[in-house]
Amino acid sequence: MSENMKKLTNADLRKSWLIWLNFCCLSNNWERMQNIDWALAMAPSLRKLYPNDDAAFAERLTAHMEFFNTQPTVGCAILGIVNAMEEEKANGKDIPSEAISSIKSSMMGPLAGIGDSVMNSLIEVILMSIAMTMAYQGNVLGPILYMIAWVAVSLFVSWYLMRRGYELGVDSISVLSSNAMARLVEGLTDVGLVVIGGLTATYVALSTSLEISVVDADSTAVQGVLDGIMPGLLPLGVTLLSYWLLAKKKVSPMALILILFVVGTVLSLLGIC
Amino acid sequence: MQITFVQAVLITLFSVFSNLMFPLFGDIGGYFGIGRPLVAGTIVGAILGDIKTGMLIGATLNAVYMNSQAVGNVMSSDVTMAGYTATALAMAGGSDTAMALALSIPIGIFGALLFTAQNAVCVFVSHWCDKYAEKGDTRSMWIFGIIIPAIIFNAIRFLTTFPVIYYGAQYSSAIEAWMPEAVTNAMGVVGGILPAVGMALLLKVMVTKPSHWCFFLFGFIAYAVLGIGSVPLTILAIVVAIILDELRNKNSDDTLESLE
Repeated sequence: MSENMKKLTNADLRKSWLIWLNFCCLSNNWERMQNIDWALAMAPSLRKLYPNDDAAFAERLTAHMEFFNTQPTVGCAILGIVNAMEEEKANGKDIPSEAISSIKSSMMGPLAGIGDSVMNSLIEVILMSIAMTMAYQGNVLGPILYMIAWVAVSLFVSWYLMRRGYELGVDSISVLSSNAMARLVEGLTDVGLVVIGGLTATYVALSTSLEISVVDADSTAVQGVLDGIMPGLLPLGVTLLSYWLLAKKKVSPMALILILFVVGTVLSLLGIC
Repeated sequence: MQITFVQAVLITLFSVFSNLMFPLFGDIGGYFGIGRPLVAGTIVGAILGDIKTGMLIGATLNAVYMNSQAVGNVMSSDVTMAGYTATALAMAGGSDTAMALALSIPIGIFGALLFTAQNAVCVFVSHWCDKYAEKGDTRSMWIFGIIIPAIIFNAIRFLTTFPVIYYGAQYSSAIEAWMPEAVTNAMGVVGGILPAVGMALLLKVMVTKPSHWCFFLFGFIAYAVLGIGSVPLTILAIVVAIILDELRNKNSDDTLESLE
């Protein structure tokens, strides 16, 4: 390694990581999405790599003003990779600007997909489900533990991916698209679905006050009959019906909320529920 | 319950801190942190002096708006604004969960529209920043690209949320007192079935093959019939998932360790 090799330190990476995480959702815009914050997150590293060359610095900064949009936490992997590529480029390795652009644009979509599903749909939902069940029992620790666990997991994952992305550079792509990643998603989906099942049983509530009279006998409460088959049959039915409307009939969530509002009110006013 | 000026300011501030345009580790601390209705409800409860009621209202809102995220920046409902404002107004009016749910719909839509508008305005911001980037002027990029938009957008959120909480609270108790019993009962039924929306939204995203329904039913019956608590249920689910992973990948060479 030659004397004048430019090297990004851990502190440089941390600065880039903090700027990206904190401001990535700010100045979001419909044209180029997270581009402003991305360029600013790269700026301290670029300044260090081109300390005396203002023209090169401005050129690289402008290049990073292009369209960029991904999920913030998992997107840190891209930030790590691009930091590593910029470092190599500044050290004279022949990396065209287009190569960096194409890494960004080819990774941001898949990683946004992984981020939205793993972080926001699986890990968040699993942690939140535990917290919500605790809250249902009146335990204030539920939301507190959620905050601690969620922030800790998210910060750990994002910094870990940032570091790994930087260390492995372009090689990280093979890790992220490996079979192991698919297995992790599959496993988390299994856990998430079990937890959602429990959450549905906790939070969806519906019972009927209908009574049927069998010949000559006292009237029987329909709810008692239903509970005899399986407790929670009506809540399960409402949930599956909602799923069917959302997934198969393409009803929007807001429309579904309104439908349930009207149906619930009518059922109650008719004395059925 | 009355909401004092100071309480309204505090609730509004937390609501602003949780929106996507406030720097709190991006969406980690804000939108998915203190912005989740469960956490929002608990904070509102703490400010108004009844932490448990706030938490329970927030928890039900959370069930309805479970997994509400801005995928590709498209937001159908801004739960951060809805969670704080609706919980506060419902608590002011007699702590009715169904009232919070009803209020959360228009407030959430308003918040989402505001976010959409902010994204449109920032198209111009992005073009200004192009000029500064070409000169290598990061200082101006920070000022005009981040700091000024942040101040303006968060101020707009504060100025639109505060009056709704402060002045709305005076009306919500009047509405609560006027509401006939039949309507209150109906709202109770609605409050019970609306969480099905949040659950169904999650199922829509997560169920990708028919066998996935087994896991959902397993969880449902474990709680509804067998009464297994959430922590043991989660541990049980993790155990089952690991065993299944081993079985599925018996012949595969790469293990989860290869992620390291």
